[in-house]
Amino acid sequence: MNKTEFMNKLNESLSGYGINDTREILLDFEQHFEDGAKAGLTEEQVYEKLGDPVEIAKQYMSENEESYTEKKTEASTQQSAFDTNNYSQTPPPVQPVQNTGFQPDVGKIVCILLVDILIFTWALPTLFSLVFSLYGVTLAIGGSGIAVSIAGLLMGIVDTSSWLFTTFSPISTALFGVMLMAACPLLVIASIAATKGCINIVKHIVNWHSRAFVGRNVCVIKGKENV
Amino acid sequence: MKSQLKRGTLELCVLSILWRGDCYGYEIVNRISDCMQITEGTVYPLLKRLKDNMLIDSYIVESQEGPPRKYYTITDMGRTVKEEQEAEWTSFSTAINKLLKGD
Repeated sequence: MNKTEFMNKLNESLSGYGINDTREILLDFEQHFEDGAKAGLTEEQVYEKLGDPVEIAKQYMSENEESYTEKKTEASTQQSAFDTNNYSQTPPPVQPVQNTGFQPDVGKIVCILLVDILIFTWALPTLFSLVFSLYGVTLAIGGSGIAVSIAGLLMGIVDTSSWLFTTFSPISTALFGVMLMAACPLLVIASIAATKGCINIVKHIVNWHSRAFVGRNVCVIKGKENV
Repeated sequence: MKSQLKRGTLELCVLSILWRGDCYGYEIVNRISDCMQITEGTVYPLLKRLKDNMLIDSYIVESQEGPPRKYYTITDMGRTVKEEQEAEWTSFSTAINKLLKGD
């Protein structure tokens, strides 16, 4: 087979395998034949060393497939570089386990349902109402702080004689009002923290259920790996 | 050499050759076939895959006599992979040699 025959056969086979960028491939072999000629080889000799063009085209296709599946399964298994070609530099990310043929444990589920009925039925509403009442307290203290401050000021305007001398003097009353108002932001922060805590407790409970029923966590809890 | 073993190591051979400096296709093929018996045509599909995987790259150099020439060069990623594979090969071949010697 001479160079022209080789190139034609290779081109034909490559297109047959649906390989598109044949131009660059053909350039490689074109050059190879020229370099072979420079080294004193005949076209026939170069061809003999290269091998069958149909086989070469086949190999382009299989390498192509390999690099395609490689990209797809990059995160799959740890294979030696000598088995195939694993270029991932970092360990592959652990994927959430999903279809593991999970078998629910009936005893565990019964226990969970008992805890649900006996404890969570009253504990959760109690917890929620406590948090809710904390917001109420915050609002009430804030409101009364404003009211007491205004009352102190009004007292000062109405009766200037009693300044500083009584327990409920205008100044001490107004200061007490300001103090109540100052407590308000702290209570707001506490309420928000309590709400977040509550949400986390609910998430933990949901995950505890989902692990028993479907074998995995459904809620992501901040600062915790979703195992 | 059986093809499976050769196939796995051929990649390391190509990366090592390019690690020392840029080459054109015929040079790469020749350096390998100087050391072992290969079907030379198999090197080019491998070069293409390594390029697709961005371990190597190619560039064209215009030449005064004859058509432009295509050179291959190793990428940073290719260097890292070469070092990894080399280490793996060294420990693997040490282990095999140890077993063959039987001590």
